[in-house]
Amino acid sequence: MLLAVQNVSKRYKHKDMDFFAVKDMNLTVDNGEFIAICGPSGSGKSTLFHMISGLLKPDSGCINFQNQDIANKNELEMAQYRNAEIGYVLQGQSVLKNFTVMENICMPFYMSNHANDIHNRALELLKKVGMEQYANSYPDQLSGGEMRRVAIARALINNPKLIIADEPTSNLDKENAIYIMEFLKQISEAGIGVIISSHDDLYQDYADRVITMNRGQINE
Amino acid sequence: MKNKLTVFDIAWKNVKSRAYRTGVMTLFIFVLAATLFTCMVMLTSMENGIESTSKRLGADIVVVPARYYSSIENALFTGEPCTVYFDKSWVERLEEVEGVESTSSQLFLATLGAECCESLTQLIAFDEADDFVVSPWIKENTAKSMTDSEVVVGCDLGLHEGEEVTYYGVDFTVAGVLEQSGMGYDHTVFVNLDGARRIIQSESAKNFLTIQNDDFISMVNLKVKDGYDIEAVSNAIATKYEDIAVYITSKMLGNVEKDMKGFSTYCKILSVILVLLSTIAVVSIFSITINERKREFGIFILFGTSKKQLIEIIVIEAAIITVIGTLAGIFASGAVMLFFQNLISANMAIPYLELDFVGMLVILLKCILITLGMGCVSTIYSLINLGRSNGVDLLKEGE
Ligand SMILES: Nc1ncnc2c1ncn2[C@@H]1O[C@H](COP(=O)(O)OP(=O)(O)OP(=O)(O)O)[C@@H](O)[C@H]1O
Ligand SMILES: [Mg+2]
Repeated sequence: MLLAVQNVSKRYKHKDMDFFAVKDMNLTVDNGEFIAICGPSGSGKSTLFHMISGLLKPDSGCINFQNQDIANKNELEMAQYRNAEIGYVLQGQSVLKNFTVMENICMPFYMSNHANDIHNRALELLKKVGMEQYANSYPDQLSGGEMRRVAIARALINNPKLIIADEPTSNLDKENAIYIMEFLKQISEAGIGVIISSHDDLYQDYADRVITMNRGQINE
Repeated sequence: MKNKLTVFDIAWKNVKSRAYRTGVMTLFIFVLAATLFTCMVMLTSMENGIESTSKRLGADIVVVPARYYSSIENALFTGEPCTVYFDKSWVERLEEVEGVESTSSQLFLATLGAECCESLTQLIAFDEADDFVVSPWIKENTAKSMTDSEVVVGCDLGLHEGEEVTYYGVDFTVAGVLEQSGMGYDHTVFVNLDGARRIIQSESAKNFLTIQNDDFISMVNLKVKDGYDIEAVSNAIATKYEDIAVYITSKMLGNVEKDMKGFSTYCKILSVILVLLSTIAVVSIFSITINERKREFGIFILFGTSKKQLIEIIVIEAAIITVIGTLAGIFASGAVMLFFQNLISANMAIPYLELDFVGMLVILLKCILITLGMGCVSTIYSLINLGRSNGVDLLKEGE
């Protein structure tokens, strides 16, 4: 088992209201498995993903990555986990404006302690997402779909075992959305676990498993 | 293709790309550093000037003709030429006063447009036999006594040893150049009494000088005997004789020191206000931009940047801005002061002695310390601010 989310809940206080953003969530992801989490806006998808990334601590329940509770990681181990074990594609735009496409893609590698030459691998990834001609461009010269591809390539640079992509197809036209879904499918076929979220069910056919969330809970 | 980007490269790119923010912050630090440096250098120069002047004055009491009143300080401290005389017999009369140990007199001759100098130059004649004011200093510098065809000159006149100069048609050789004193002596030419006599008796001097023989003097320096109160002696002189003005040198310096204190207070208030203002400005710019940049930092954290690396990036960014602003400010201030050096020292009615290399270096380090301290305060403030927001707060799309 690559990832196991067990009885995870997260509560938020909003004014006087107290509510569960995520409630008793259970989820498993295997190597090479492609899982799509569907649900309307506010159903808790991003909250769940943030907890998997370790950025947010669950109020109860536990998250095991490769059979180890990520709650036991210290600050540095957590950084290493995010750097090498998982690749996270943030909801919305997440390309760094001050850096070229190439630098953006290599950034997680620069933050690691490795010293080998990453250039060829980065180029190969750029080719895979069809962006090799933009290697030295700055993000302000790219379209939204192109930036999304850069963010995905960046999530892959350190060979993670799990890719978490929060709404990777939002705000994209059909052509770009399909391009990205096909690419994520390829990744999972290469043995990497993939979880994506989406608030519609347009591209669910690519996933091995679809989980529908509503008000923080799985819709049975 | 370039190699791995280090945290420094990343910080440097961030600073470069945010030109506006970088520019504004650098400007604040620039102004701060420049003001601090200018104030400190000028204040220290004045302090040095006053110290050197008190060393140079040598006398306890100075007596001059009464009409002299307004210009004695100018004459001594800034070298403004003046020509007022009284009879030589005053020396003896002053020596009779109880408590006076010794006297030495000086004769002031202002030269009009001598070949050497564009402007009026003050010539001071002194009697080598009894002088205790300038002789020791001249001996220190030239190690010999002067002949009647030699002059010793202040360092600001642009003259060199061995050069020929002519005053009122009389030729002199520059026997030595004095070290800087910070006071009027730096623009003064010294001759001995025999040399002065040659000038007074020359044909061309007759048209300009109001005295025709050497029976006149301009100033008498007095030393007070041990055990006598300087102020009492000075009062005794003032009550005994009219038509003369009596000054206590330490009091004259006291006035100058008062002037300087005023300037110093002004400088200090200005510096404190500036330090506060720029700290507030830099802190606010820093926190605003850090708030704007939360999502950026969130992205960094999500791909595995450790806290340590993130802090390094922020600190290096602040350091780059602080160091560039500080160095530019100090450099600009230094350049301006160097350029207007003569104007500054000439326009201040305060002895002004320029700093040596070590003095400069000390002030430079002090300035750097203050601006760096300010940079640290704003960085730490922003880091605390950033640390307070937990992980997901960072990911809100604020930009
Ligand atoms: N920091 C927070 N404080 C309070 N409430 C929050 C916080 N973060 C999220 N929420 C609430 O938790 C619920 C779930 O939010 P979440 O972002 O996980 O939804 P989502 O499924 O990702 O929605 P979308 O499809 O719009 O991205 C929402 O009602 C949201 O308002
Ligand atoms: Mg979301």
